Amino acid sequence: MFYLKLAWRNIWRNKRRTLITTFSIVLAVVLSSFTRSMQIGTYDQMIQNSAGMYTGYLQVHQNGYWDKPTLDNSFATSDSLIKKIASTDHVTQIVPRLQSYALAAGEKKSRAAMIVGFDPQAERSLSDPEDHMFQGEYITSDTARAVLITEGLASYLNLTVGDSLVLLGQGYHGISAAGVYPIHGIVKYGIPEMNRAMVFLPIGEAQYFFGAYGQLAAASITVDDPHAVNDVQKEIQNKLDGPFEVMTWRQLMPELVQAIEADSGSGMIILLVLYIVVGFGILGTILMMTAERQYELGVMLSIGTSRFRLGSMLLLELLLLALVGIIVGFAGSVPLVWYFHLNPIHFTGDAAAAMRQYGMEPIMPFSTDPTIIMGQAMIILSITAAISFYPMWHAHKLNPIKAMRG
Amino acid sequence: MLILKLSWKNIWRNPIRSGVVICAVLIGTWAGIFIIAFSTGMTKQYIKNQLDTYVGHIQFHNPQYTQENLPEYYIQNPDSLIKQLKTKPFVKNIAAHSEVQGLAMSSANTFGVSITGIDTTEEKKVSTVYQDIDKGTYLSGNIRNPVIIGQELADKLDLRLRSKLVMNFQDIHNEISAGAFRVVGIFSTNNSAFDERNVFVLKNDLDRLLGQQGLIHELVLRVDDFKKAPDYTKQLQNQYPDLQVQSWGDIAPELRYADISMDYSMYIFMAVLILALTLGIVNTMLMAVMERTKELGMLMAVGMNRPRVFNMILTETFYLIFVAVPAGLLLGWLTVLLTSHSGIDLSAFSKGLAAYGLSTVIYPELDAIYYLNISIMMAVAAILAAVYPAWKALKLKPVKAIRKL
Repeated sequence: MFYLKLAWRNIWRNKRRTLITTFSIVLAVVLSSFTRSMQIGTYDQMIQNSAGMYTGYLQVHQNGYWDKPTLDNSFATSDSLIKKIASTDHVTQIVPRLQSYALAAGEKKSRAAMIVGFDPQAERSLSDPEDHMFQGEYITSDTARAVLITEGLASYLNLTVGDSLVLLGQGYHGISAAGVYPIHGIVKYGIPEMNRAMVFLPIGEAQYFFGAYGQLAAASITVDDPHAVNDVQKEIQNKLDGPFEVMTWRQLMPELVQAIEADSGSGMIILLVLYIVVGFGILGTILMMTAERQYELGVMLSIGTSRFRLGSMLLLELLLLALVGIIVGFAGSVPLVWYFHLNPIHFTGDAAAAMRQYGMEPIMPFSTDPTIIMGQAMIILSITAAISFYPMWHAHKLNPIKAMRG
Repeated sequence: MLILKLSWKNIWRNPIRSGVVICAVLIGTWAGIFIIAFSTGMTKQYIKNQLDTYVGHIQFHNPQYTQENLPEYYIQNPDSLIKQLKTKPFVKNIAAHSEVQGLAMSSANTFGVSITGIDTTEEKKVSTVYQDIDKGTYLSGNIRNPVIIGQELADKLDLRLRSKLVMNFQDIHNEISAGAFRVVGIFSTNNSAFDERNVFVLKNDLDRLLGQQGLIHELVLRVDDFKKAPDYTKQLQNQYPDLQVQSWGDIAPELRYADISMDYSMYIFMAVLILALTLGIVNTMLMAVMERTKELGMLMAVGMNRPRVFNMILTETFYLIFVAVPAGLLLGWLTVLLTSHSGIDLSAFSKGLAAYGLSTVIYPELDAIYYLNISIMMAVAAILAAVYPAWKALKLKPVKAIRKL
């Protein structure tokens, strides 16, 4: 208790020394939080771009649909089913779809296209064709006999707004599906795969076209908190009694998970190097601090303080500083990360063009998840704690006579 | 002159203090070099793997073919073009493809695919798909109409080895043509979208179905250095204005995006690193000045004027930097040299690397110019970091300073 008091007084005795040491710890927390938030923010953006662009954060299908995505594996929808999903926590929107491939033909040419039976209201929260309108107008009724087609398909088939599109394919349980639809609008997506060959057909009409009345191939789900998908998945799975599979984006887009994992390996190495640099900054200040207090420590030793107690006092001082440092560091990182979250770094020139071409916003996003900063603060605390043993060792070795002559 | 000598002696008087500053700058320099080399190595490897698998470095098409995608728009007089290209010193290999978009049909499903007719010996020199055959074999002339398909397409169409696959497409006279092919091999590259949408057949088989032998829709070139491909592309485009020449960045924008975004995060990280380092040095030097309060006070009391004190501390920092930066460079260079041979195994950190098209072992590499850039940046940061503590030393009051315990 006495030494705690002594340590406390020592801290206040030389305010500038305290300030400098604390600052080096604060800096370490802020810089590592900044770097990690940037890394995680980039992953969140990748997820948001992929999941929010078309797939959704979760999807509900009939068991086996994902392995074999044919119309025969579609399921009968009902109001009570949708209600069950919608009443789950975090769920913001359910986007029903009935999709399959069919041949899309113009006057001379044809191409295999993905026919998406979509709900014009709900679809706004995912692929949002309305926001990507290139020509013509959006369809607002879910039973309209009209289609929207992507720009890639339109230019390949040489079709424009007002022309007719012939669709030919296979419907539910092998019945043949054929129809002619006026093109109401053309949509353009940045991602080449999406822009290539898609046809949006209002869901009521799509069910008629495929002969799959009241059926859905998939219900995509958007959530307000992407980190809660696993809980949402469990809850929906429990609520739906029946042969349904509920999948998260991790299962729906394994490539994305792989891309993130691949990148986080190099992210770890980068963080490790940063820890070495900031750790050395802290070590430098602590070394200098011990050197500066040679005389004082020498006096304490010669008047009879035990080496162990002297060491504990120094350790205690540093741990107090470390505690203050990481708290201040945490408090400083939160507004910094929020600032960059709200005013992200913009890419310019070629980079921006390449990203826009790929359908991504050319910014460097930051994650504001407080657990990231908390984690970094803990890591810096452990690094500082490890370094704090140096003064203890120093006190153990100190020669009082030499120290006082210094 | 006196100052130089005094500073030199000061450095050796307290080796711990000097050691700390030297180590901080050394580690910063080393870290900068290592991180940039590591990331460059990783991005380059990723892009190279992708290019080796399917994109090649430069592609030639009939400009109308890229727009309309119809087989009637083939490259005219391909033989003389290939002959001319082969004389260029930077062109390593050339493969000629015939290509058509069609519908692949099995009893289970129908799917739109891109059908490429290849010559197996030429193709092996520009694409590594033959190494990615999981089941069965690569194309060979033993069976009539062989085809190799990707694992993803095999799943979609429920196809196995020796399954029959019927493909429908338009021929060069815009008539519907169809062919029955036999699956001899199933490949699985690290790009599943590619595996889903591409099938390969022998060029002779496809040309026959398209209605003319010797058709060429696409030339794929490999050049000596893929980073120079955009320059070569411009040069070739000028020479052949009637053809469309594209470099890998135009063909696969996602690879260019990977290249650029890596550069960007590197710059930001370097800024963070330099900030950490500069402030680390400022802190250490400030502490050092505080530790020497008595000594500096004494110097002032015996008549050393303030500019000289300032110069002395600055000169000390210079000495330290001139030891630290070259040592850091040497260490960085050695690390890169060592790891570029042995590689850094990342499998402990992530399982996804291989599947994403990266090897789990990263081989760092760095161009010489970066060593210069990094040393200059480090030296500037360290000098800036020295000014503030030196200025702080000026503010000392001699009498108070000597009294201090």
